[in-house]
Amino acid sequence: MASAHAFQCDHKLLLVLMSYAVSAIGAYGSLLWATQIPYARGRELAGWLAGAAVAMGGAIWSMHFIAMIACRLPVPVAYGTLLTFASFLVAVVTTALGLAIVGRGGGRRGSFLAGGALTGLGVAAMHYTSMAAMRLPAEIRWRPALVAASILIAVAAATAALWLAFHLRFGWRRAFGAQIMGGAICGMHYTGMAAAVFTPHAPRIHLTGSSLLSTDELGFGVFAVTLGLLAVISLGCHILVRQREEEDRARFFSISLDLLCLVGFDGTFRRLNSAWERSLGYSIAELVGSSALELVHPDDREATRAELERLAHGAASAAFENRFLCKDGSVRWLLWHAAPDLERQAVVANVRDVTERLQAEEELRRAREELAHASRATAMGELVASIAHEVNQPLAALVANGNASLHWLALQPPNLREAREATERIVRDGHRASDVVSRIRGLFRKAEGPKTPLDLNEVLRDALRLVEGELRRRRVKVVTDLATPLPRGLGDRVQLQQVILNLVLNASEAMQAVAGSPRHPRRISIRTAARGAEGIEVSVRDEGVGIAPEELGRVFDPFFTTKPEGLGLGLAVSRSILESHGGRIWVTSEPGRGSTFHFTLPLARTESEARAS
Amino acid sequence: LSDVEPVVLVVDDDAAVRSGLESLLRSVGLRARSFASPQELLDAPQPAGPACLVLDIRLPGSSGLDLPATLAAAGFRPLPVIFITGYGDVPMSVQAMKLGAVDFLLKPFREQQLLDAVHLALEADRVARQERAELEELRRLYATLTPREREIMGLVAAGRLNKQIAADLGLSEVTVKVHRGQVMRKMRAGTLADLVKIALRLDLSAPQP
Repeated sequence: MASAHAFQCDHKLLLVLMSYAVSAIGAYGSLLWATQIPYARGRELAGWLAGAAVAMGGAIWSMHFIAMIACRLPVPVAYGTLLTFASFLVAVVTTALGLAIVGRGGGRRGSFLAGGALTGLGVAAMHYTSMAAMRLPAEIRWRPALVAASILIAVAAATAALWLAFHLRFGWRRAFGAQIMGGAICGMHYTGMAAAVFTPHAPRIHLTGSSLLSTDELGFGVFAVTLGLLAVISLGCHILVRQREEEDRARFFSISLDLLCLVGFDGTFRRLNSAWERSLGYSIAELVGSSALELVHPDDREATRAELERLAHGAASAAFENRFLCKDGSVRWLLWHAAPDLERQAVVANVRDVTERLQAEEELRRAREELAHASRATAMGELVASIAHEVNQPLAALVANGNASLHWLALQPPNLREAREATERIVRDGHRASDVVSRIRGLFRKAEGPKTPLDLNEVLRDALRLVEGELRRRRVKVVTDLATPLPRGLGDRVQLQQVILNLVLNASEAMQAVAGSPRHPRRISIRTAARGAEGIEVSVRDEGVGIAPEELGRVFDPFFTTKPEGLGLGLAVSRSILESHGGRIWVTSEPGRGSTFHFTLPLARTESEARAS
Repeated sequence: LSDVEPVVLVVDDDAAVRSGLESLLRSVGLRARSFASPQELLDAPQPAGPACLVLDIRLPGSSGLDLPATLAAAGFRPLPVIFITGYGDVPMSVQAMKLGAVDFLLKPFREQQLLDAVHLALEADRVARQERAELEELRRLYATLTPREREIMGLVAAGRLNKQIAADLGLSEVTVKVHRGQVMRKMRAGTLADLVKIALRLDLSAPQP
């Protein structure tokens, strides 16, 4: 036997390129199908798996087969049909299994390794099965290292391919992933081919059984058939996906809480979802073909017609509200968001029933108004009650004294001393009533009374004279520490006396709970002091119960009071008086030891200063 | 007992109102004492003679409406009350009248309103005091009866005849008559009708058998 040279494949470039193209296109097709695998169950899953596996397995197999044909050998080559077909099945089945493992593995790393190993070994099995189908007048020797390398490449490539299938499923990534997968499949194949060394022997080919002669035409044929197959599979996938999307849309349409509809430009309902039935009470059958405009509240009909007109004349979208008449005669508010479909002379609309929302808003608004009114009324009532009390107190004393005075004078002989005393009290009560009135005016208008330069020490002493008797009765002693000379402050004598009286009486009340004794009388300490630019400071200190820290910030609020029957106006009025004077009032307190109220009054400018400015 | 002069107790936290009221009451010949707070009233000795309260509803320390209950709790004898207030509303006046107030006056009030109410209140207190005093006296007299006499008084007041009483108690009719005469003398009852009235006031309606 003439010893011939051992030879290897000499690949024909065109077919090599075709083999690559077929593997990349197949990979792309399988990626299309693989998209749905993680979400599918049961028969749905089997369908998607089958599609992806046929695309992938078919592509791998035909790549391999075209590549085999690309392999030019100096001897004629044919392929056994049965084994060739078997190799195709091996490719499809192992790819399907690999995809299934990965698809159900939820993206875990282990599932990629397992699925990749299985698919890779399957591809290798396919390759070598197909090689075994070769019929040629030569013997094949294998280079073990390259065989091993080809199997490793197959496993690695399959793992990478599966990973890509599940990570680069969408958009441009899919095309990129398909290229990588195609390249990996080719790499495996050509490594496997490099492992094969052919040694020729008797130039006799036994074409037993059916076999295919390896020719370029066969390669082109397989290429064309595979592409056709892939095209059909991709199209199928596309149709399936579209079909699913349409099913989804139908479901969205039926479950939507919003009212969806297609209305002709003339106002005729063409298609509606069941939300309309719930809102209006009419059945879909009653609504389809009827005029939407007739159901619109007559007051809104013109505006609605105008919106449809606008859409018919090219407006891109419209948003409007109108009222619809329900079957039971009630009215519902609908909020429309619509877009035109000029080809069908219709409007697609998403309509929201906002009746409940509007009602809730209306109720909320009414509740708020009632609340505001109630609180205004309460505040007014409180104010009126306290003013009535403040005014009626001196008036009651005045009337009683007047009556008493008349009685004293009517006696025989008249008791002139008592009558005079009662009359003097009348005068005092009258002044007090007028003070109260001006205080109330101050509270409401913050009116600026006439401010004159005054000696605060003098104002203080006058005020104390007014409450002397009251304090004695309450067994309260007043200790004064008045700075002399004291610069003159600028203010309204009556209002400032009101503040001082308020503070002194509050102080004495704060001490009512503290037991006084003749040796340790309840004591109020009053100080005046010049405080430079701040003006004059007056402080009134009691030795009462003090004020809790959490209440310190509120004592000047109107209607805040710690006295069970207090009005909570005294300090609020005092503060407004001092603010209108440009001074301020504050309090310091040691709970259990007593409180000190301080206020400041700005200085009166001296005449020389006034002239200078 | 009744020789003690009546007195009007004024409780108002406003000094001007207090002095005005005091002067007014004195000018018509009434005695008046005034207090700035409920505590001052409680600290003062109880009036010996007829008295009434003129109470401001707004008082330091507590509501004037609560004062009658506070006084009762402190052992003060019940006094007729006239409420006065600088402002009032219907619920407040209803509450005041429910407490048994003689009157509820809004400041500034007409003197006649106040004086009428004060006289009414003092008279009511005088009558109440007198009734209490009489009852005290009857109780004192009743205490001087022997157990047998009390028994017979109860039966007489219940309308039993001497004969029946004698049978009830297993005594002779003469003995019953003697006891009965003692009862009439000790209880200072002139007639049988007087004795029955006394028994009613002493609440002897359920004589022991």
